[in-house]
Amino acid sequence: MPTFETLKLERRGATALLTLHRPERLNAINGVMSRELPAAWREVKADPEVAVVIVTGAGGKALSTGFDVADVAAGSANFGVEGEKGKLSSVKLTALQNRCWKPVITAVNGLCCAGGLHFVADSDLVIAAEHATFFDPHVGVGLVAGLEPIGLARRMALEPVLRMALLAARERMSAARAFELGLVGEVVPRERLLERAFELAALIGEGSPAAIATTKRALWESLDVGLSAALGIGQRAIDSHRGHPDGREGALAFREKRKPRWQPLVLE
Amino acid sequence: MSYQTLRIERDEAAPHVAVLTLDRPDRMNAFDSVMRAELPRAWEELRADTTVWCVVVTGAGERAFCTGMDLREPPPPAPPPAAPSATPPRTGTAVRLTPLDCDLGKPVIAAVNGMCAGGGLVFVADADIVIASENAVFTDARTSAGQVSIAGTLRLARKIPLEAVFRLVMLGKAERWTAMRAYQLGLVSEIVPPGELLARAKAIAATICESSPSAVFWSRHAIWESLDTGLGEALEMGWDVVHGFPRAYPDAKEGARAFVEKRNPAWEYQEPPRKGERAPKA
Repeated sequence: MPTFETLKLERRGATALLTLHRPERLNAINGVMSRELPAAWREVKADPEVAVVIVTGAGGKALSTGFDVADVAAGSANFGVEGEKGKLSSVKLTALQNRCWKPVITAVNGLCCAGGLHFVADSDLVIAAEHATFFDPHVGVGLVAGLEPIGLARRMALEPVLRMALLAARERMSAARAFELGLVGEVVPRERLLERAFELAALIGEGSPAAIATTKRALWESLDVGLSAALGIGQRAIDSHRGHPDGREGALAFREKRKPRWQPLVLE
Repeated sequence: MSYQTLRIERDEAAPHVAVLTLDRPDRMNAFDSVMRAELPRAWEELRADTTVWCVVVTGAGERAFCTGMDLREPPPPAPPPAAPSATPPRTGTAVRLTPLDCDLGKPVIAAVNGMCAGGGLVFVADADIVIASENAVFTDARTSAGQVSIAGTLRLARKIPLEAVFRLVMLGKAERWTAMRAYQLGLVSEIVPPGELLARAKAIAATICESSPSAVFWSRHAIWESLDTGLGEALEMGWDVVHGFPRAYPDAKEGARAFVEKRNPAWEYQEPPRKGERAPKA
């Protein structure tokens, strides 16, 4: 796997581990990271050995604290993908923003705030260490909280999202509250976090990669439209999977009481 | 009408409530081709019956609510390929099993009496109110079996936190929710002992039937239809319903009169709205 200045991308078996790696800056996103992330997702997408991706932050303190305010204050900020500046498409931090349909587990290992919330808003599974906290300081530093809360509002109750956006850094949502609200699916002791993420990745790896990728894509795309149109998207996804060898193999393996042998996933 | 795989029962104590039981307990109430054919007929019968104002759907026996497609049967045939012409995007689903897909138009309470797995989730996703017995389990092994998990789960993604839906569809058979987790996630609103489940579901249904059936039909209709569009447009649609209803339905006047006269209202049943119907017509 390629090396990066601000990220670590490793593969263990069929699981890729993508670590935001600026621990001295609480894994804040600088210009370099904003451009290395799309490169990392291209790598993940293209690697047929990778079935599942785990996203986490280096060090025990933070997943990410968003765009690096020091760069903004110094006037040296240069975020985003060249050629896309000034457009939403310049923000390409997450798998979803990079249209990578492999399953993503985000392991929140501490602070997760501001732009760091993109990783949670766009994740499939989210687990958190007990000390993880979630908050959105944008308005407190004179910025608009205009993307992360919109994504979050599609995956949890609305009141806590508005609360987070309006109270800025003056209040933090605990991991326990995030679990109650269904923002995260599990809370684990910090020393267990990554181990648990790998366990979940292995469990996801037991299912059909094609069925999971098609299901994931249909679920995300369904959120782009009204419910009736969403069901149309779903039906087309069901039709597209019909006749896929994994369907037959799944039924056969079940009858023969053995592990299924899935087709490798080829993404466009 | 008679059915092989379903039961429809009525109870004198709750005259406007019908209970639809998925009745293949030896197969954990999975749908076979007979049930797939009978369900649309049953929903049509329940829609047409003017004495039915609310429906409870449950599974026979104490083991399972419904476990989805019966894997002992071959899958249903593929629908004919879509014409290559520039047809508008398809909406809705090809397999029509649920009250929403079959346009029942009346409130539905799902009483989850045990295992609810895979395609069985469609009844939970499409119900208005969901209650569960203490032994209920929610799981979805479809991707574990090489199948996509889309029927039911796209509507679930509008009802409960998204992370939970991804856990169900990606972890497959390894992810099982207890009734308590389903309650925490807002998927179910009450947990009751197994022996009391049906009675409680009927009691909730009877409570709903104390209100104007037409007002209930149009309220749930407006809420579900609102999910088809953005909020601004949804509120415009909602206004058309709110504004048009008292002009089209005598229940609005009767409700006010009964309230002032301190008596029970005498509601007048009217046919429920159809999917896509925008506003009550005077």
